[in-house]
Amino acid sequence: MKSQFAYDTTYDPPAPVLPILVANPTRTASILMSGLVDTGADISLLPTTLVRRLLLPRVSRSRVRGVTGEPREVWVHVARINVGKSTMLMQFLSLGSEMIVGRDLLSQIIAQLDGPASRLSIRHRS
Amino acid sequence: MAQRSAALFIRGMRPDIVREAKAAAAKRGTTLAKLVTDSLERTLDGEPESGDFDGIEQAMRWYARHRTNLLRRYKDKYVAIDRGRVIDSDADFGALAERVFSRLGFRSVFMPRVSRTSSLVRVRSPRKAAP
Repeated sequence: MKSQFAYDTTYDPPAPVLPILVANPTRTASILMSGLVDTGADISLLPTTLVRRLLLPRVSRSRVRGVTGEPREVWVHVARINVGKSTMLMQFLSLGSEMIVGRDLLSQIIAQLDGPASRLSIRHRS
Repeated sequence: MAQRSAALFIRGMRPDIVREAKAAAAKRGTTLAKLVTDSLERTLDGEPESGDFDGIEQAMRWYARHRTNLLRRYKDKYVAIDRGRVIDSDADFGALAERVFSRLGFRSVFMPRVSRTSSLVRVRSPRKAAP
């Protein structure tokens, strides 16, 4: 089954975003987020405020480097996410103030970017 | 690559807090600087103060000490470490985490991917600065 999502026009230029329901592993708290699709990110990121609100457990620590600057160590947390019809436990870095959908999550789905139509289509592996 | 370090001198600290912090650092086998840095980082990042922080720190130290042995058996797999032992492993992080949370309940458990070196992850895409 294919789902389509319009690009977020608050970005300049408009950017592909994916609505994702982020919950703690026991599903006692959840929030619907709009994740920026970023094929340049090795791993997905969640805002630290959300990690705090959902009390997401820590599972490891990782060194992360952005476009510029020194690498820094940050905690890796686990969250249960719903993307389309799929539910999975994923690792997220707790960093920054926006949700980034990195290649670890993108490798779980088939995503197609239609730039002229400003539309992202996803489907899951059958 | 090691992170840069900086010196910080603070006046006006309560002596009992300083004493307790030094004792806590010694008990954890770490330095006062590391203890204060970790506490400040958690506060600034707004992360929850979970009661199991000591547990995951201990598991991280145990993993660092036993990494060479673990590589022989678990190379490129995720392992769950609790109370000084590997309690489960899997090539799929999600599958491992599901089993660990159903067994131990909802809490922080160190679940690294066993590899020879610490990984460096990159978030490459630059953003336009607001005008």
